[in-house]
Amino acid sequence: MNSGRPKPKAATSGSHPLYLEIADGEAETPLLMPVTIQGLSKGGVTVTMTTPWFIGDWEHYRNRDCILRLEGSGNQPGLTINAKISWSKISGDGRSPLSLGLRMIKPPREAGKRLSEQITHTSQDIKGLWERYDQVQEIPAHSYLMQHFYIAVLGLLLAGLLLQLTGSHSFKMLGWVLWLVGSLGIGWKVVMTFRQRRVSE
Amino acid sequence: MGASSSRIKLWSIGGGKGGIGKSLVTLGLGVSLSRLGKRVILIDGDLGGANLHTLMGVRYPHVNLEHFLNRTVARLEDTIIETPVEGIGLICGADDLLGSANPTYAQKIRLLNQIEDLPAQYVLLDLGAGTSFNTLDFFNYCAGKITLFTSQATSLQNAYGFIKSALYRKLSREYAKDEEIIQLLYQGGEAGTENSAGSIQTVLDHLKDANPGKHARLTQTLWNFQMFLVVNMVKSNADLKCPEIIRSVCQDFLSIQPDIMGHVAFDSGVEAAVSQMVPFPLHQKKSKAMAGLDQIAIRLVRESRLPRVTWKPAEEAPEAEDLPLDSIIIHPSGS
Repeated sequence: MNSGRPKPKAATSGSHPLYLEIADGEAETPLLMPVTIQGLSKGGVTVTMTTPWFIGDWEHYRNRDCILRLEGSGNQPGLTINAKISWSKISGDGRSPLSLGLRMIKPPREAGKRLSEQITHTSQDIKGLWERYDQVQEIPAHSYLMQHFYIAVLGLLLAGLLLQLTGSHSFKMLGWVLWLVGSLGIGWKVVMTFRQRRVSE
Repeated sequence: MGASSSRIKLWSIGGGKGGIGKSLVTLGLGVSLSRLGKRVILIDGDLGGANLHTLMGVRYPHVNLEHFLNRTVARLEDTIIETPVEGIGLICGADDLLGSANPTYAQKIRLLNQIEDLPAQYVLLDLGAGTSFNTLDFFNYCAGKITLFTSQATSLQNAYGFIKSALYRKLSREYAKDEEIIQLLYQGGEAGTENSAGSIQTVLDHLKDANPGKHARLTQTLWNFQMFLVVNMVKSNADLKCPEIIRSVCQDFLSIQPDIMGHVAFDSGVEAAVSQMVPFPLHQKKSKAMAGLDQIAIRLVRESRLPRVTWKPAEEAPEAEDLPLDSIIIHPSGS
């Protein structure tokens, strides 16, 4: 895995604003390397490092958990972002900067903005455009909740049906109640769908 | 507070990206305006990629812009083709066989001069994709500017790029002899950003103290750059947020205030109409897309009639001035 070259030591802080920390199974202390942000997408970060040669086989680190550590500056506190290494690429003769694709895991809300501030090769307006776009894209998360809602309603209706089959009077009554609640839920959703359609028309 | 009483007759529809429905929206708006009793002329400004005539069911136009540009036809008015739609005349685009996609400066001036004299209440100019200087110049020339886009990320990106290119083209021409402003606009980016054209607000902030005269002039230019946003192929409520994204980025980084003019719902019937070469608004009795276009047409007529309040520095405006509700303005410089 390692080429025998000296590993960077774990460090707590430095002049570099962004560090990548990778737990190394063999060593007690994790690897801590300065990195530069190259690209940012919703949920993904591409970083580069100029001295990747201390690790011979970066493929070994694919799917490995890692941590992006963003140093605090001014009145902004430091930020820690958990991630997984998705891919690694070294172009040319292997002495070129290494690119690492990271997939962020439940990043803090401010992660996107803080990381985009680290990108210096793009104008501020384009960053602003994509920040706002990502905010709008968060809306579909609501439909994910709706999926859970449908499952819950279906559960209520099935439970109501099962209780009807038990024969007991009190269970039958409870079954009717569950059916009623489930039907009201479906009715509410139908009304909301029509309302939404009317808005988009 | 001054007010200009001139009506907006010429409207351009641009958007940067291809395939977002510029020609279809131009056609639909034309039909909506004609239903309002207006005489409309549609011009296919997509020089080199003209197909507005195809959408209108005209397969073999006998005359087009090329004939006007190469002086086979003397008057632009003589290139108008009557269409099956009552109240709509059509000027077809050129096919670029004789270099019409790149008209000379003299040809452009001759064209623009005669557009103003066309016998119509409204002239809608359907622009081609991209941000070529010709496209931007035609867009900027029109008093009414509509930027069209869809909710797709690529369309949003191109729409913003188109607006920014158009604005910078306008500023480059208007301030061609003012080295200070040109330098500030193109180099006055925020610190640490090598590739940035920067926020225009930073330029305004700089000029406010350094040169109030230039600050006032630039603010006026930005205020004059009036533009409307229309989102096409809307499928959900989330899509309706897209114009707000563009408007917000324009306000923050370009110091302009585009108005959201409306939206056009996605309509699967449109595709079938295009394939059959039937003008799509006539294809269905009740079209979802046409409902949106009708609203936009009403807004367009209203905006064309309303006198535009000209910008005046805030300190000079009387306190109790009675402004029309629709013309309440926000100072482009944010000050």
